Amino acid sequence: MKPGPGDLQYSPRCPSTLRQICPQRAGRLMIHFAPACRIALFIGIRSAESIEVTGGSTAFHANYSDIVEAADYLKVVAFLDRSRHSPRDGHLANAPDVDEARDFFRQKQSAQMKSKVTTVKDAVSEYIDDGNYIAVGGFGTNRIPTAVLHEIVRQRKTRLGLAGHTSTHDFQILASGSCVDRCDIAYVVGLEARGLSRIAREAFESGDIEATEWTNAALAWRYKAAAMGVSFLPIRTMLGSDTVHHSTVEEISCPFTGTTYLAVPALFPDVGIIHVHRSDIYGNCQVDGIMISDYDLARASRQLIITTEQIVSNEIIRRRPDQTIIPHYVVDAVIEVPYGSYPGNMPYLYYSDEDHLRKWLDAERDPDTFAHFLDTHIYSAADHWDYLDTVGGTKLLDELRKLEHPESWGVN
Amino acid sequence: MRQPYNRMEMMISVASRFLEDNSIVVVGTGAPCAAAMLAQVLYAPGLTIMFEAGGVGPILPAMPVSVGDSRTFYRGLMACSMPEIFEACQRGIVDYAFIGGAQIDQYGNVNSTMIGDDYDRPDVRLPGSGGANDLASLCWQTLIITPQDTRRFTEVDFLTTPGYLSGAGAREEAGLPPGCGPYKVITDLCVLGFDDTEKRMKVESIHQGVTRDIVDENTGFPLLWDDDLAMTPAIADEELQVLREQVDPYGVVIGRS
Repeated sequence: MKPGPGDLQYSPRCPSTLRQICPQRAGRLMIHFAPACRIALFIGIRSAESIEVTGGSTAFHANYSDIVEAADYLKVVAFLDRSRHSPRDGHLANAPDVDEARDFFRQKQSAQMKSKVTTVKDAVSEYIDDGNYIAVGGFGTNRIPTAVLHEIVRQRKTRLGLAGHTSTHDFQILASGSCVDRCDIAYVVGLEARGLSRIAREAFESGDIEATEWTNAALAWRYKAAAMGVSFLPIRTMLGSDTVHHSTVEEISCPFTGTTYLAVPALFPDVGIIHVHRSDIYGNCQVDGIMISDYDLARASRQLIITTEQIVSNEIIRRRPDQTIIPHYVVDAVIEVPYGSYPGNMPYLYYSDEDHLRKWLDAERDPDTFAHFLDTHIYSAADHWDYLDTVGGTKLLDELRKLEHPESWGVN
Repeated sequence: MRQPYNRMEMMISVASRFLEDNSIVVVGTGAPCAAAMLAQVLYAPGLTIMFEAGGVGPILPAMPVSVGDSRTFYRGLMACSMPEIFEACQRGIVDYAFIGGAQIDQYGNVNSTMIGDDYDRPDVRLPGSGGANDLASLCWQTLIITPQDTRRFTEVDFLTTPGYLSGAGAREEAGLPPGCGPYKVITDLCVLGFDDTEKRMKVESIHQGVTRDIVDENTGFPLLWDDDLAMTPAIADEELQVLREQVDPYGVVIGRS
């Protein structure tokens, strides 16, 4: 039946956050769930003329129809029905189901203290499936896991979801390979002071990538909620902005003070990918310099791939356990990739290659030029060493090492 | 004779004058960062500069290219995390947010998300909030630095970062922490504040060589004018010298104007 005046339509996205619905007394309440939704909660007392519920996972209709009959206002939250999980329906597929996450983490084999050393190629084929939701550590052009990102493109992974938490060059790489079809955006498309990526822009402007809007703090706190094992956190940003209308947040009040908050749902990425300074073979990782959001991202991720400048002995880790920020029990794969953040910056080791980043932005202007550019640097390169050879090899790396150490500038 | 300067150098020099000594500021990339660095040398040696990715109190050897690059904590006081910075803002300890913007309206609301009227098919997709919404929501005073023209000073197509939203009291009504909001907008033409009753933009001073007509012609909404409209003090040679020799010797920001 088509909705008329006074009727209230509600189409929760999946997962939606808790929403209280107060239908007009005279109208019908029409709720349509996306196919992969199951309905977690329906409570209240009814006053709408009628309530129609369509869509969703039919297996659950029987469970809520009786309650709906008696509902005056409804509290509804739609979660992903994992038995019906298809990649496309998985837009925002990472339901903040903390009990499911507990069960998952309990059975996680890689929690064991065993060697997780592998290759970039094997890690990408083993841990990243088409349709997965991934999150990338570092900060766009700083301490990024470039080798894994290139391999994702080389293996032509598709329909990935991405946490766009200051995702600059990392997003640019994935957009260049058309790997992403949905994105939680805090910051994408731009490369900060360097300008906008044409490839990244067009992916959104054409509608190829489904966008959901957040802020850097909101995504950082979504990781933190997941890392804490709670399904949401109350935050005081995003309020009053249009960002809220393109997001999956809900306004809540503090039960103690009445203070208004937005509840942001925990984010458990299917796969997290982080580049670190050193790790042992078990995945005990140490990072020098700023952490950005990687402390929480590592813990929130269901699977975690680590690339490291250096694999060190367990003894080296044990000498400074206070420096360990990612413990082995959250890590699934460890790969040694020296210069692994290139063309990004790696604190205390090498600076970003601004010339190469500029060339990448310039190459995007012409499709043929860009196809050739990608072929040279990604598709025809066997691995990260090969890529480094295509851009300037050891001479270039030596220059970037010097740039990272201002105290040596002007000293021969 | 005074040295010539470009409009980026002028905006940065003027903006640097608004940061109080011994305060805490979180800065965005580019001009805001340069202005905070200049302020630290000239007026506010006790200023603590923070970057949203976790850098605190660096002695910057050159302009960072990214707010997360290693220069943001070079010889710094602390290298921490993004949650640490935003949580400090949320606790109320950070005085200033210092940001740029693509579009800005009369209430100081900023759009950095998209140009167009269809969110799903934007004419131009922009980067999004980054940390700008968070900083402007949580820091006590927000400084915005942006060139002024009718393309930028207009209704926002998307309200990414809250200014005073729809006017006085609107931030508090939306649930944002009370007592915060835009403080100054520094452009290449003038310095704007916000009037107390309506929280609309009010011109406080116009730069050397700029007229009221020029300001109006470059603004897409009606402006309020301060009764005591002043002339922005001229850019001093010392400001330019420090900016060019110490703050941005490689012209990363000032060379781009």
